[in-house]
Amino acid sequence: MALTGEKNKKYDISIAIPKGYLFKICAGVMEKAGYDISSLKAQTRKLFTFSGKDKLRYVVCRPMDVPVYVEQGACDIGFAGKDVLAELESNVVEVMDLKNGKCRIVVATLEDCIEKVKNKYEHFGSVKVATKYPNIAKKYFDSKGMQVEIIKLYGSIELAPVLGVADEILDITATGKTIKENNLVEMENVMVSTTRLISNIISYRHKFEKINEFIKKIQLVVSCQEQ
Amino acid sequence: MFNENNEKLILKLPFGFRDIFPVEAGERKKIEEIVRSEFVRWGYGEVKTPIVEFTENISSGIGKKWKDKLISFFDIDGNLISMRADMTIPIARLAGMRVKKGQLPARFYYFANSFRQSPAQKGAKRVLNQAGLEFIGAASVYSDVEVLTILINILKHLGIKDFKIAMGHVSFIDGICQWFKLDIKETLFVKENVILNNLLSVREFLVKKDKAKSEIFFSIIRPSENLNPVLKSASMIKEEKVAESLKYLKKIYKLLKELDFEQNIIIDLSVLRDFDYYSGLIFEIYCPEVTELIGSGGRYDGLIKKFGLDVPATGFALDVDLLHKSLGKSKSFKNMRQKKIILSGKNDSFARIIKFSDALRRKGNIVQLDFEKNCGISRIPGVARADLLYEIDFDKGVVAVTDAGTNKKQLKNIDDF
Repeated sequence: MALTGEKNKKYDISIAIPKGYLFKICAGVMEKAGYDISSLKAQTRKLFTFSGKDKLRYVVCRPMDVPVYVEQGACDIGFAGKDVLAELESNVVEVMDLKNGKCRIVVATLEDCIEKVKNKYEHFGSVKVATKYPNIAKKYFDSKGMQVEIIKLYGSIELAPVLGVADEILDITATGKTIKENNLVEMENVMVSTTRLISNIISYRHKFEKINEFIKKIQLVVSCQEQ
Repeated sequence: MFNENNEKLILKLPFGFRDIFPVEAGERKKIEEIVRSEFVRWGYGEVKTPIVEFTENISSGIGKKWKDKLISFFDIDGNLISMRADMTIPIARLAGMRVKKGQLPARFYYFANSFRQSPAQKGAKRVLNQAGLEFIGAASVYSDVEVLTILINILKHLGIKDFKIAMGHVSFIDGICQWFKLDIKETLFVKENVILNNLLSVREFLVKKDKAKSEIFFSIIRPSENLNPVLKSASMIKEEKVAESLKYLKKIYKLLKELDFEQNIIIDLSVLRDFDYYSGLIFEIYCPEVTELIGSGGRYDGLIKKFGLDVPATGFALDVDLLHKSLGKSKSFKNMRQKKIILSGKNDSFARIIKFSDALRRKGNIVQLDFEKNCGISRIPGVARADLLYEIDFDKGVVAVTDAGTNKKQLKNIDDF
């Protein structure tokens, strides 16, 4: 932030918006709240756009990067899944639960292997768990007092047990469909994740009025959707 | 003259540590001077403490999570020792060890590096350059206002624009937990999450306990530029600790207002720090240019008791790194340069050259000797370029003066200097 030296700022607040499945949800909520998101909708390769009317800057980035951008102050606020927040343990203020984009983080293994994995744990004292959430996995298994080897993968986690990379997976699922399709069964529920609105800790106190105005409008949309 | 770096040799530093070069060191020194002069003018005296302390001592008073952040190792006799993680605890230890009640109140200030572990993947720094003060043996609201006034004066003198000090009170959350009738475990959960700024989990938790009360609580626990709305909403809470903490904040706020500091003050009762030793007023300092806390402080009445001296205390610490960043190219750093002369001559009259250069130094010049004939070829950033080049010739009794800017050369008589 110090280096960018933005003198004639075109915006009051900078918002980090995740790419992927949360993008539509977040853009939708913002549109309903009355914000001009036409620049976001335009399919360009620009990494950030502006809403001149609302004095907002939109930064579109990977979901895992949203909390980082917000923590580092590149963005004042952002939308992030609870799964990502739990994984990164970012130092940000969670200001609102949008209660949508609901997913579960589950532990799963191959359909016919539940017994086998159990035996393996008893025999060898450890099982291998593939995940893209090594931090959540470590905390979860630590809390159960289980000894596991964690293998970090960046995608297609469901493949790991099939190919023998790991015995179990700890992964996110919305409907459980992908898990079933790969002949896996859910064994344990680790956590439920929904979309959260987060804020940089300094911005939250320094620009509270402007951020609060945004929060209020989004809150209104979220409450309506709930009813 | 020297060989270039051996390309096969790659040197590394432990992560989170770094070197500081003359530009930065010089600017920091300037910041330190401004801060120091304010401390001194208020009658504070500088203390220095060892970089290491017994882990046992240093851990009393810091939060649970902090113990993992200590950089610790074994002493030769097997005792566990840690590098200091802040200066408040070492100074409390110093006060407990060396100060007698009759000598109070004691006003101490410090400039010191403190060391903290940080997760490698976040690559954060593990050394903090702090400037701060501790006012030991003063319980009144006036001592807190003194400390805050010094803090605000410093930030103003440094020229930091638009800084804000967010004030809260430790007892407020305690009182709220009593109001909700939470047990010890639940209180801990609430406090931990408030410290982590995880207000959402706190809300989810408290709504289940009592929806109406939680609405009132969350209407209070938000940043506010004025104390009155906070007091108004909080008047519904009949709980001793809550009322007391707000009464204290009200007194401070009133005095700060009389001092015309209100535009720099935010009331935010969610301000809590993960140091267990805070006992009353607590504050954090923000500035829009920097996205981290540039400092924090508050009252810690119970801490020094742990070191054998039961006295109240208050203080703050500023992060000099972040102060520096928040200043950017501020006016504070202008006019820092003195005129610099590079002096050369025949090396067989070297002693005479030194005597001559010393005479120039006494007149306030920076004089760098050049006896290897490589002046101005390359330079380390931040080491000032020469303004004038002097070539001295004692045989002829003249000095050839070249202006480094214009390259104009002029012969002058030695006696003229």
